[in-house]
Amino acid sequence: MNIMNRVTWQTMKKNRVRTVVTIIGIILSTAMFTAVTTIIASLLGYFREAEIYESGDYHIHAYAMDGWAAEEAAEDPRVEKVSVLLNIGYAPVESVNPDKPYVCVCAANDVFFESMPVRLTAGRLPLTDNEVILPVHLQSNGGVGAEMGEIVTYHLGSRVGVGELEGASFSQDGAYQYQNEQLEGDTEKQFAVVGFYERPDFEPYWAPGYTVLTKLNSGFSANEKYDCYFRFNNAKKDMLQFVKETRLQEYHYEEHTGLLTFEGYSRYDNITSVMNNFAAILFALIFIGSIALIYSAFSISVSERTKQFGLLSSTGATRRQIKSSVMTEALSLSAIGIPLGIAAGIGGIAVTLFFLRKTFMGFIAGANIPMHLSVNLPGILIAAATAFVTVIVSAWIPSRRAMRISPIEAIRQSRDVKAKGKSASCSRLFTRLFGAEGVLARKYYSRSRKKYVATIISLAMSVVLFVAASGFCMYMTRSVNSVDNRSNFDVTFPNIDSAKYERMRTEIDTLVDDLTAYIVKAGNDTGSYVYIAPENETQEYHDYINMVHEDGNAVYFNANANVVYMDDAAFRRLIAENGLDESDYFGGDKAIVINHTSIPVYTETTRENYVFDFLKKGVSSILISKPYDVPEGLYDEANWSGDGYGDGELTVYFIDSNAEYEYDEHYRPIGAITQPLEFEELKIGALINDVPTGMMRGEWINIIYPMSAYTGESKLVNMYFCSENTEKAIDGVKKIMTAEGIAVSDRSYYDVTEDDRMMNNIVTVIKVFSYGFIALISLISIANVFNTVTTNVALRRRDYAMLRSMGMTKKGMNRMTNYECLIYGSRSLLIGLPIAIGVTYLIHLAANDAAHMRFELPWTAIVIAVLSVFTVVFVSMLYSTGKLKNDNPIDALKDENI
Amino acid sequence: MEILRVENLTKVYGKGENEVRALDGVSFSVEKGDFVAIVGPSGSGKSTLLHTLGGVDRPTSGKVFVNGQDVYAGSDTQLAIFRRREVGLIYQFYNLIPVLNVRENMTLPVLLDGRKVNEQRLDELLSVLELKGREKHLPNQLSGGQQQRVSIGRALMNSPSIVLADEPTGNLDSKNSQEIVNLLKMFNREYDQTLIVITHDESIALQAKRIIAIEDGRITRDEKLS
Repeated sequence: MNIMNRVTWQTMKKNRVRTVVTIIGIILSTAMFTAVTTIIASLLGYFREAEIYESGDYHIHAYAMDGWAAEEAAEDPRVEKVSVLLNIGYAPVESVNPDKPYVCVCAANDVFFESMPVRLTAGRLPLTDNEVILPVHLQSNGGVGAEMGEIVTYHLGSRVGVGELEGASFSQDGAYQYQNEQLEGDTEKQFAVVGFYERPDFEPYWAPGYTVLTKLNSGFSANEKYDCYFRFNNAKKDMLQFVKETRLQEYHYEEHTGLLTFEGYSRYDNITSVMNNFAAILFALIFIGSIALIYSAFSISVSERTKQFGLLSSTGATRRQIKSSVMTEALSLSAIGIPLGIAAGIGGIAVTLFFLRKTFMGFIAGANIPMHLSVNLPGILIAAATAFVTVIVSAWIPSRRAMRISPIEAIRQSRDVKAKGKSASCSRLFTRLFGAEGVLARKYYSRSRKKYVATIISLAMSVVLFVAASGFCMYMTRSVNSVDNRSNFDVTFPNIDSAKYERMRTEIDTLVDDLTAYIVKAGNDTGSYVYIAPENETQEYHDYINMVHEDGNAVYFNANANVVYMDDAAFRRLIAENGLDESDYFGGDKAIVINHTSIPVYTETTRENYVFDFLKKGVSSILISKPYDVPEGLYDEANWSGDGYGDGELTVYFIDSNAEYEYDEHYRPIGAITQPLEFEELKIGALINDVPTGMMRGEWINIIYPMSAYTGESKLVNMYFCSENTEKAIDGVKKIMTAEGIAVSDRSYYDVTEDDRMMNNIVTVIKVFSYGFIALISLISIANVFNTVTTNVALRRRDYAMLRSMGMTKKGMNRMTNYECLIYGSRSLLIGLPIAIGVTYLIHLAANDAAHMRFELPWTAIVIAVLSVFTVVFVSMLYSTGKLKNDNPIDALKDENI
Repeated sequence: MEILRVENLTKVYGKGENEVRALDGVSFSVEKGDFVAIVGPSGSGKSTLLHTLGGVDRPTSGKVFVNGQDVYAGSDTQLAIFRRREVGLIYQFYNLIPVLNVRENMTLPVLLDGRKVNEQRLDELLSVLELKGREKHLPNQLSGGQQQRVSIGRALMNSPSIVLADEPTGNLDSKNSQEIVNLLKMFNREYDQTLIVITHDESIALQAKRIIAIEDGRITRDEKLS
């Protein structure tokens, strides 16, 4: 080992604490660089898998390719695999959905079943072209049931236009044309039903046929037309060229933008570029933090070693030798720090993802897509290179500075104390308050400011990041939780036949809590209206109406009504809860009215909740509108016929949406057909405040009758329930419903908690990453502060000794250091807090788009930030001065090689 | 009038085989207005003696009295106050605070004592030390001789009972050295300032009123010059 390197090693060993802190700094920076690239690679991988799960694993979808062209394209070496779908034909079925009168029988190859989102709910995939699987919405949406193993017979034909559309032909991509289309051809074919599968993503919502899948047994046939889903070995490189060279251009084709995006295909790089911008910002922040840390560590080491350099160069060391000595230090620190940092970064993300894996699985309903750790090698290399460059730059700049001065200057160690700049004078009051020690501290700060810049910038940066990230989390959590009128049920199954519901009720009731079902009274398009006479309405309600409806005209009504017939058992529960008399409702003709509501009202900047009762206490009857017939092609609106609110009589206006009306000052269409709104008495049995499960508060009055009082025609009920474990409850209910002969799929119910869970999951993930990021950046800052403070103090060892020999007491020393801490802390807060508040405000503006919120500072975070800043500074100071206090001043004065 | 009395001063560094007796039973006394030069080869214990006199290095045994007061009898704080008020130290390497300017360095002991600066004294010192016009300069803007003059000013600012100087000219050329010695002599003469100076420069020692020679921690010679 040459002498220069030995000197370097010895110096590093001698300054053990600083060396260790520097290595920790390098580890932290590398770890963060690595973590950022790894998390981005992992997220892209996750999104990619999610995209494949939802819409299939392909890059290009070519519609209706001729067999020979499809064959040619499929054999191209650039193509990794092709999912092929052959439309065999449409067959009419007895569908209740007027827009979807067919099944569309398609034959798919093996690749298709593997790569496309075909998810069985029961049974198995078809093995021959005589077997089919049916989509579950054929039953749930179309009402066409089939049993497993049943032989279905289809009369297959193709869709052609008639009348206006004569000569046209249609595929799944073209919506149903009603009287303008018919099926041509009638090939009878029988299939065995071997399974059911979820409604597929590749069937458009407007498609006129339920996609029934069978197996494609033959190869490409020249006369047939195939839908081909190509996946390329290297889409980035080959896709455009492939489209140009093959006959794909002659057909209608679509690129799978989602997947291409996540695979980094440059034409669809908006998401990846968002991710990359995000990464760039993070990189920049880490870069600044790391440079500050590593640079200051090196600049301190170099300025300490300036004398050493001077001695070495006066004894004949060349500039190159000195430079290489600094580089040796940088390299050896990097050699230890960077590999450890990479390991720590990957390890950290792996652990984080492991703990978050359940959270990620909840992101896409029903799809248990795990979040895998993807290590992106180029990303890691970039991270390592960035860290290395940081170290080299940090080492090089101060060493250059040291070499610019002559050896003698270096030996003399006239340090960079500057007299210029602001005067460092202290007022008399200041001197009174803080004494000579305070004056000294202040002069140290103001005359060697350069040395403190790193400390203050790191502290300020941590404050900004910490407060801003906390603000970010706070606003995000708020906007997630700010959805008003949250539903008071967990799951709803709409549109169940009421007779079937009656049969299933008892069994379902054992599985769930608060089971309720309603038949919603079919009123007119705009519902039923309630007329509340002025003597019956509360002042709060009257004020609310005047506030919301500017002209004071309660527009159509004075209240919309939501009339429901509640499942008898649930109704009895309601009666019991409110201590009411059963005979008023069962056999009687009274209704329970929910009188209390809470309505959020938004203005430009505020959101206020209006809470009030509609009716005065004790009101026992109001008027409710009778249903009326709306002429075909028109829609209805109600308004007063007189000069304003409450004037004249309530009138229905039938409006033609194609006609253009002039409106009078009460917003009534002039010239529309009108008809007086007729009312009948609504007898109120009780006014209650709480809303039963499944109902919502709003600007309307909820009116509840028992279901047994229902006389209307519609017999569909909406079922609502709560449950501790919704997934289990839904499974149970599905089984009961299936046994009752109702086909259920993921789309036949709505799990409210799923949304909540998903939002919470997202919040959790973002919180984990933001706080993790803050924690690491804060660690870097702490290391930084510790490093600069200890070294600054160590460099002043002689000054301290001098002051002590001159008669400064220990108390005085403490006062001086405390005051220096105050300066550090307050300066960094003075810079950091305003920026932090500004950034928080920007975040507030962004969050405000989603939900109206008042601007509020994350006070807890600010308090924590302030306390932490002072703690970090004081602890570093305490540590470094503590070492000096036991110094013999004489030894310190003698010690030249500090 | 006796201003300083040293009784049986001993200072031992290290233990066992490594034990070094830097001072070994040193006793002497100094009158007010005296100018004492302490001489001896390096390692003889003269710096240790000076530091124990100045209250910066506690002796292993023995006593130091300044103005009849036992210096090491009190607490660390009392010792610090003693240093601040009774002693002025001048070092070979000046040891000025780099961030303080000339004026601030000189007035530091007064400020540390929480007292008001005697502007008249400061002004007088500045002109005697030929530092007028340089009050705002920082140490790194001054020559070695000027820096040493600042440190002399600092030592004298408080009108201490004794001024202790440790090789005050060791870092200066002969011209600057003689200037410093002249200044010290002048202060001794004009202000009756008691001075104890360590030196191994015979020509400086001969300008003192009294020479104490030390060897191996013991006084080997104590002679008055006329």
